[in-house]
Amino acid sequence: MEELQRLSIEELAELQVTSVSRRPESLADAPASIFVITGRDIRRSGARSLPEALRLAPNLMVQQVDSRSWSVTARGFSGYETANKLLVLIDGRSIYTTLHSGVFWELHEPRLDDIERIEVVSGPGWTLYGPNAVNGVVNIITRNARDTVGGSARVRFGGAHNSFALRYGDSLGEDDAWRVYVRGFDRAALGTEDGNSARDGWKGVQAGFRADIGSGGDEITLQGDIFHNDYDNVFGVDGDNRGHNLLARWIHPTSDASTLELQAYYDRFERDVLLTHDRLETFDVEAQHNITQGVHEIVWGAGGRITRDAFINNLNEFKLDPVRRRLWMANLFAQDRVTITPTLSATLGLKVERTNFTGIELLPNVRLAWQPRDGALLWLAFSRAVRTPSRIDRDLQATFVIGGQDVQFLAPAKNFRPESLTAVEAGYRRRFGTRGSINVSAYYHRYDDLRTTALSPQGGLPIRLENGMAGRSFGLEAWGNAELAPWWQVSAGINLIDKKFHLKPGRNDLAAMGSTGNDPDSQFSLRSQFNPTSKVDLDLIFRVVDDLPEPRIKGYAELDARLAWRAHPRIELAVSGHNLLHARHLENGHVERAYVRRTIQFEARFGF
Amino acid sequence: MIASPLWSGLPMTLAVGIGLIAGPARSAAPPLVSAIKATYLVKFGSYVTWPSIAENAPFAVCVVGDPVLSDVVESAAKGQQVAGHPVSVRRLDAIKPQDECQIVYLAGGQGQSVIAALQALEGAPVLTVTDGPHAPARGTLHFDVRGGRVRFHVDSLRAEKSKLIISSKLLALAVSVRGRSR
Repeated sequence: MEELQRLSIEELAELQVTSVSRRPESLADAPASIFVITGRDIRRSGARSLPEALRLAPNLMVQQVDSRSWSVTARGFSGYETANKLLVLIDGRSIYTTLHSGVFWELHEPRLDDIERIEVVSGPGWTLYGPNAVNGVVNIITRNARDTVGGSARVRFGGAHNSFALRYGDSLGEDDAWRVYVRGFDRAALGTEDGNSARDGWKGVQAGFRADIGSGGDEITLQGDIFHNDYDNVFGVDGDNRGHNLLARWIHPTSDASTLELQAYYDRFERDVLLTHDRLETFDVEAQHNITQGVHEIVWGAGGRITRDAFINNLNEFKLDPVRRRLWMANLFAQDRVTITPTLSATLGLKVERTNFTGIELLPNVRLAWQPRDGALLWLAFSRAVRTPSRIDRDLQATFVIGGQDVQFLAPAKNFRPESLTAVEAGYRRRFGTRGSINVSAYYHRYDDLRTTALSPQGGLPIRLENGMAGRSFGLEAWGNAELAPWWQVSAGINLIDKKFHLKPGRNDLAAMGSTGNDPDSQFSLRSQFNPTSKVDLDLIFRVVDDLPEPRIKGYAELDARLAWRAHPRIELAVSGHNLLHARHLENGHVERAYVRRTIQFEARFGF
Repeated sequence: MIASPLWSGLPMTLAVGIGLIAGPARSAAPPLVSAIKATYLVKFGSYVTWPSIAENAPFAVCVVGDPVLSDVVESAAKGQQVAGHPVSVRRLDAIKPQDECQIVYLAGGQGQSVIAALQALEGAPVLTVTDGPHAPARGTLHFDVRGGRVRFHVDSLRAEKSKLIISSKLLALAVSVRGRSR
């Protein structure tokens, strides 16, 4: 309420009362570990892609694998194939893949200037988020079309990355608006161990639109994207990716205190990598009802998703059986946030999930939030989450022909169970007027049924994937920001984790517990934002990441910097540098990793 | 509501266990739309000129026929002042000019219909505010949620009859102004 009082009457008239965020309460009193990356943070950091923007979240672990591939995760499990416990959404559309439960970041290149904010939740997402919200949820929200009326173009050029991004939007009648955008880029190859090119350069194009139409409190959003990118490959075989999606959302307030929300989307992509072809089509429908009644804030709803995929492997013998498959997932959820006293609330939530790979999973979520004083919040949470088996978990098999005989090397794990997580978390958040804030969260995660690669019960071939590992991790995530002067803001973040996993009795793992990922014990970042004049921005972002244990990759410290000058109300020129401290460094232990290079970029942005 | 026994069973048993049911009704954070309307009602005071208010009198915002919104306006008005007068909020079932309210929000309903209220306040120096697509008549200001935002219409003919001067800033923010070509 005080926040609203402080707004000017013009700002009050601009407030959006309908939003894609699934929670009814504002972020300030959300009982979870959430970091919000604002659109302004993204622009000022000079980030050139979504994973680069995600480096700004202290509660995420981001590793660049090569020019196209990234590992992004929260609370451990870093690795190109092991980062499979994160749910990532773009405007409500889920972008993790049923092939391996991870995200192909190279398929998603929206215009970063059109991002309103990214909410990064570490820990099992609330009840309200869909499947795969195990270690965290990344919710990417683009700007309402009404906020992007007019034209904007951004051009970048420099050593490793040349791109242009163009957007044009206009209003539709008195209240509605639409926009279209197109983005093209060309990214240079990174380097290998011996200093040669990793030959992983790539280029691509993405275009899309968004329309926001409202009347009498109803709000309809229609959006879609289409993309195509192609790349060289170290074996000389080119590859390419393409895809498109369409999403429609309708928000209908049934009274001042209750809202109905309906969303449906279709998404399709195809990847051609080396001699493999991977294709996924998703059709998803969700409904949600928010209602406030007395002391209760209730959200409940349901969702259903059908996916059709194919993975055709002409490169080696590791194939999916069946090659093509249709999967479905359904969930039902309900959550009630009860205000017990004006300063204490309890949230009780339950999600019920069923897929054709699992039986009924009950995923409860209990949270307590206490405001000991104005601007402070103490919270506690208990929750359970599961990772639905992916196609690789269940259907991957390999048969080799040796001496004229078929020898099964890997048998499919038709009984592979969902990996599960039980989490206890607590946190403290405090705002110091407008001068600063701090946020601390601690967590204890118990995992069960983690993936192992075992010998057959007879001790030989065929090997198979099993749920042979369990264990725990605990850690601390803390961040804060302070306004040291009206022209100088500083923020810092720290992320600590301790992992201890073990094989269950009688089990073996040929992957040597590799599916727990390769994580640094600690990560630290410091960001300084200067505004020496109202037309000049200077940003310095310093990060330190500890060593990775297995395979051993040395830790590193790096600095990104950006200097921008608004030469004219419609023109901004900037120069930015990424990874300035060393000519090159490694971030990830994947077999095909490349060295991340120092780069300098020039940018120009025009409004028209 | 979902009829499944799972949903109806769980929160009830937990609620009884923690003793939540016995407590008096307390409100959760108000829905955003109500909070915005309440904040507007208090802020309107600074963009309209009334004929003089008695020196020690509070600036009165009266909410007719909506006790829930009245509570929200009370928290919006906490510590606020208009033209040097502290803002006070009154909850009424029906309004007459003698009630000496500067701003009146008319919800209609059992106590007094919107039309009756507007008639009673005809010509009085009161800023009448109505709300919603189903209101039978509009006051000087009328709330309208459109384009995902809470906006309002201005009736400047009614404002003139009430001898109120509406600032150009408020007129600029309005979705429409009746009685003036835009």
